[in-house]
Amino acid sequence: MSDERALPLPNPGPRPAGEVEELRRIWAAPKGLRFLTVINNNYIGVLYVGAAFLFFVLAGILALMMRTQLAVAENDLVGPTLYNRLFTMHGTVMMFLFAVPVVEAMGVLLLPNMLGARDLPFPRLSAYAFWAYFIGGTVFFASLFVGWAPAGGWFMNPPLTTEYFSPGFNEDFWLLGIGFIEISAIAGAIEIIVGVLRTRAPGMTLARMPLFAWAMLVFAVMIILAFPAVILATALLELERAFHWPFFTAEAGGDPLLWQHLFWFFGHPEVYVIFLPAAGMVSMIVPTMAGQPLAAQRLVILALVATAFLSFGLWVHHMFATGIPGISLAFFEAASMAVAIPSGIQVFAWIATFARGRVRLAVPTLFVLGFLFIFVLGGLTGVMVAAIPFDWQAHDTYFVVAHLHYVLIGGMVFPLFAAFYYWMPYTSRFPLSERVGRWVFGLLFAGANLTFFPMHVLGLAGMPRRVYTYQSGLGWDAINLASTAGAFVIAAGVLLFLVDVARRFRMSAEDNAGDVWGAGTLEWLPGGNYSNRSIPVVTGRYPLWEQPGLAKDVEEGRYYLPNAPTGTRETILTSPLEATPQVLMRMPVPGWAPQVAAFFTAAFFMLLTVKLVWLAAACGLVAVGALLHWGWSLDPPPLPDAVDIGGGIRLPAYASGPTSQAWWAMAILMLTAASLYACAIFSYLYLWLVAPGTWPDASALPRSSYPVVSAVLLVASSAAFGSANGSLARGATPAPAIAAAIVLALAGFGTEFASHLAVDPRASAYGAVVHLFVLLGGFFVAVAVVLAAFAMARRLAGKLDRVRRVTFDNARIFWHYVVAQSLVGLLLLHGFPRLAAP
Amino acid sequence: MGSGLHALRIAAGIVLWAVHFALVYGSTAFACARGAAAAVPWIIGSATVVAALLAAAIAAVEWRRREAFESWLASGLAAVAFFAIVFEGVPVLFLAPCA
Repeated sequence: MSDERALPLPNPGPRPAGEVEELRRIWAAPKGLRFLTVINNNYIGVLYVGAAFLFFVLAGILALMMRTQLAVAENDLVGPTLYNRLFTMHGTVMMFLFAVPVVEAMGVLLLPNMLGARDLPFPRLSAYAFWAYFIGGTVFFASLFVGWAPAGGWFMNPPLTTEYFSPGFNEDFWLLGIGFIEISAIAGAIEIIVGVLRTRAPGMTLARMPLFAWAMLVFAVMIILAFPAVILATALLELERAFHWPFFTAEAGGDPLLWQHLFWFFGHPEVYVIFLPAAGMVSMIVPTMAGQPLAAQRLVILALVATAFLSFGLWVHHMFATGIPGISLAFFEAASMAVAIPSGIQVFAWIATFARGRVRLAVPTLFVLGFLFIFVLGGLTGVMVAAIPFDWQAHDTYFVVAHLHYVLIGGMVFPLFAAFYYWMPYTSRFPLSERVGRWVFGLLFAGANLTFFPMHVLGLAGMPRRVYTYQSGLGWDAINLASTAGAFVIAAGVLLFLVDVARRFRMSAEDNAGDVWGAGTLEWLPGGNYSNRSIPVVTGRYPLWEQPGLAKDVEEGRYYLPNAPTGTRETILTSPLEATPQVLMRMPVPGWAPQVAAFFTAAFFMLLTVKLVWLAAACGLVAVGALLHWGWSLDPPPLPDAVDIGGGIRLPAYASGPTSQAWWAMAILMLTAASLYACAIFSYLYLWLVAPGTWPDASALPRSSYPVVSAVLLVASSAAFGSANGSLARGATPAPAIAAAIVLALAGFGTEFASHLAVDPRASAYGAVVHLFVLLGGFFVAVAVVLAAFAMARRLAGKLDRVRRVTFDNARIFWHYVVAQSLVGLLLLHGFPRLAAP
Repeated sequence: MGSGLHALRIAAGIVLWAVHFALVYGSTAFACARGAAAAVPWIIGSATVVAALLAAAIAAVEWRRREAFESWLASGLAAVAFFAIVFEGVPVLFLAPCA
């Protein structure tokens, strides 16, 4: 792989004095109160990991409360109401506020350095995602202290969670709080996809990309495809709770199982969303600790991608007991068994790598070995519960609790601790203590097995999940007591870890402890807040092992971009497959807009939860204002000259169209939107399937002239936007054509809106789902109109012309997408009932 | 755009699997809800045969260009898709539809 090793260095000569100082100044984190505006990935990454770990500890404390309650039979320490809230919050916080954010955070922290970039492509978006999550998550957790915490279980099944059975704000906190935190996860995923595909060091082809970057790419794509399902589900349940639109009420043609389908279409991939990045971390740690390249790297990449796509065919295995036809269950049973195979490939690759090399038994290695043991056990019980007859027996018992904790603690928590120990010297002045670390590992390993292994037995002995107490004499007493003891052993391990972190962790980019392991990948290059002094050319999978002198050459500025030629933050945009340099991308500097936007977005959703609608609306307006202010500073003026980055390569310092990072982000956002819309179409068809009786016959539908007029207006608006594009390319003003497009689109949407006025969304599931489409259509048209108006304003301000046109292009592709999506909606709402009418 | 085409080729096996999965699951749910159980084995059987053949063809075509990593990956994913499609279609030989 390292056949190009003899390449000449791009900048062989000595560098002028003061370059490093300038890089240091440009990339410095703000001081004092302004530190809150920091956007550098190393700071946001550490804050993000820290916040996620805080939620891990908080949710762990809830678990200790539950285990204390269950230690003895007929205990009255915690009553049933609080117990319901405890298990709901424990699961919800662990999944949504710890597991997903912490792996995203590790991506933000590690990816730029691992890829050889100066930062992720949208640093303010990371900051926004972090602050929105941290503020929203904290308020969500605090709901516990005022008796408003949700109590419907972490998957919130209706009808229990409908307003009739769960009045009050409690479930709304889950729906609005979690729904909104998922939006922040999507923002992070967009950042990661564009970062991994477009900011890799020159020469780092897909085959040479580190496995953690592969895992994060797969992770982010899964978020884009899976999370819209839960966002839609929470929206539907909130619409039912707040406005009585009966999506889940059987009497009105709804179906509670629709929730389960949408939730688990997100919820099962979610497990792999958590596991795959952890597997990626393990694939980085194992080669270093074995002093060997990872065995079968290509097969491991294949396994990552295969696990990801098969995991989208597993969701019904959470619904084996709901009465779905047996043959349908069989598809999911088969897929559930099949997904064990790619996981097995990875496990064997890690074992083979260890077997080949001389293994260094440091703390990260111990955690990896612990991971292998616990995760494989969880995988085996997974194959057991994938068998339908066994699942029917074990369903809703402690066996399932044991299984899922083995998978998640083994598959995610242990790799994460391995990663904490492994990457601590990357971000801290001192590594963590090896001696203390062995104790932490011992306590966590013994504690996890002592807590959860007995639960298998407990489940087989018939103890159901989610009961706040149990009778003595059922053979459960001693097992429960052992399990509780184990939980406190885990807590001791976590506490010891925190003490060690407090003693040894001193965040530093400049004088970090550095490459204490002798690792092979780029994040171990010496660097600072600017990441690497110069951006290396990569010729293999383990550059630090294969390219002698690389660290010194990078630090002396002998590779690409050893300085800041445009005087601001910059990184190199490279092509997605071969990583050929394409553009010198100028990057934003710290400012208050992302933090203000994040605070008021969180305030909007949280105030909405407690029905303070006007205050919420005011906060929402401030958030939109901050976002627009932020957007105004995007698309900086083009620079006339190409910039020399060394090695005879001159890059343009401005890009629009498909080479620009903005185009990629917009394309991924449209994919997210398409996934959301597809889930809505699924909901429509599903409700029709279960209750066709609520669907009107053709005579009761809106006259067919409505959709025809609406479609013509929408297509005309797209044509108008196309003509705006033509004007801009000729150097003329696009504003009149954009204005015409806006009027046409609003008229098109208005026609569709008017056509359904006679249908009452509260009367039937049909009415509810029709109005859902009207609502979605209105939302997308509104966003498109704001983007278009924004482009017009940029034109008026002289910030939009035939060259500088990124904001216009983004509005344009989104516009055409929205029109296409609306046409699909018209076909469904007006065409399908005519087709399906008896 | 070259990279778009590459992405489509890498994803071809996955897309095929997803279409097959959605088709067999959706059509079974529909047929069982509307009392057309007799059609289920035929739908699943023919969809599975067609999808499996296509997946095998993609795997074979990409395998010939396997020196390029992207083609190797595309071939491997199509092969995984082939096995998953067959594996998920086989129950139709053993189970009564809609029971």
